[in-house]
Amino acid sequence: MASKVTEKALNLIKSLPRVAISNVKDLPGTLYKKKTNRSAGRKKKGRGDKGQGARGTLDPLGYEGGQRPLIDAVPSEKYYGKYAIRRQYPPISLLEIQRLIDLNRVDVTRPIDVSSICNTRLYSLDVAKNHFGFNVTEEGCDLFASKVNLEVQWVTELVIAAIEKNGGTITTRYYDPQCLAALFDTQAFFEKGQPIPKCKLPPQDALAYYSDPNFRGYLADPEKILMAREKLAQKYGYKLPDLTDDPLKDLLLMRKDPLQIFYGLEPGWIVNLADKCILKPKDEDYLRYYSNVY
Amino acid sequence: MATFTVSLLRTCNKCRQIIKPSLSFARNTYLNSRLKCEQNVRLLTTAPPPLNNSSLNEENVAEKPDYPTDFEVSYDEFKYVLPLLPRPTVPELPKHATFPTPSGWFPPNEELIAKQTFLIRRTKNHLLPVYPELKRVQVGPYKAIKHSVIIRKIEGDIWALEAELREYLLEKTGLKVIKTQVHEVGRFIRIRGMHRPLVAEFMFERGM
Repeated sequence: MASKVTEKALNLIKSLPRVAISNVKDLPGTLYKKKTNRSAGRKKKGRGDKGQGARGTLDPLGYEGGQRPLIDAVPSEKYYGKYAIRRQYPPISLLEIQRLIDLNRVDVTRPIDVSSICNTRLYSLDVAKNHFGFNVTEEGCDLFASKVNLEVQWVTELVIAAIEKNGGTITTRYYDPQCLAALFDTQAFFEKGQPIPKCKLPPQDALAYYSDPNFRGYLADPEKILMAREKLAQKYGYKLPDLTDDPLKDLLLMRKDPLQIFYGLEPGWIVNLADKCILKPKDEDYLRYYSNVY
Repeated sequence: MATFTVSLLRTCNKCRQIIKPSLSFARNTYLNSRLKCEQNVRLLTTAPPPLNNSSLNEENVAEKPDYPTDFEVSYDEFKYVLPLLPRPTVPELPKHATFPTPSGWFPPNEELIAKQTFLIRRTKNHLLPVYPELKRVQVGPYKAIKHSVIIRKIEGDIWALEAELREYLLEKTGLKVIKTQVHEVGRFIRIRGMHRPLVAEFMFERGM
């Protein structure tokens, strides 16, 4: 007769779950070799009769029996290389912008940016298609005749000249996809009741463009931008209008903070459309996150 | 084995006792224990059981709210939100001193329109209702694209418009034939070919 301790231990073992042949399982993702029939008289082991299949001497994929394979014969030119991860900038021409202004679709008394162009419901962007904003093309550069403060994502030299000739100003500005989604559908974004996101800095391959005074990058030195404006005016042969005594000076020099995406609204604030008010959280960690670049 | 134990063990919300089934897995014992407690029985999870009856809980709620609620409300700064919202309707046209505008837009000429037997209205965006259309077709072994132009918002004599437009296009393009489709009920005309600029020119000449 066993002692009390042994009896207790045995009872415990009986009640506990244990590893047994009935509950042992393989690790997930385990691979098995094909089962072969080893009984007497079986010779082909499930691999068919003769040939490369039975002997395991199949050619590798893409081998064309000694002939130069297609993949080597056709030269590849990678126009669409890395297409899936490239940033896309859908075009909008200067003519189209002028038409929007003529038909009162955008307000010239405010700076024109992604949100004001998309709020016309005539143009739209799609984050799923890697859209990162608008590319202003040169069509209609000769007939452009408005004094505007334009903020877009991609421009050329001629576009800058066409706008600055009329006394306007232009900035190229990077928005990360999350901010862009808030910008191109402001109504839907405010209805969600989420805090206004802070804008990220441009990725490494776009940093050079957005800090270049020749492209009026938003991270460029303002003094260098003034010099570049004069240089461009000399190159294209027009007189640069003086901004110091301009009645529209405040409008033309309005700029957003690099972290800011809406004029007058700071990142971290929450817009309440129902009560027509703005909620400003006071939590210290929250404020630190929304006012710094990490 | 582990999943088996978890699915069978229940806790009582009030007394927080674990209701254990017997080793023989008798269903009756489980049901009896459930009846004894007369409480909502929930699955045993990793989350702590909800505390809902003791006086301690009320104090806890007062100490720790669900969300950090310390914020300031500003009604004045809502004026910055208003210009960011889209306009619900297409705005009215501004008063231009001269036409055409810098982008080449001009309003319809009503004197010229009065002379015609038909009318093509502008769209709500103040532009011509002339749209390109594209159809991919398989012609025998070949794949082809059929281009066409559609004119919508037609009022009045649609057949007169079609005859006049076809003559105009024949003259301008020098083609032998221009294929058209007239839809009397849908009030549109479809023209084969990429003739959108010519159609627009025709309509501007007639003051549309």
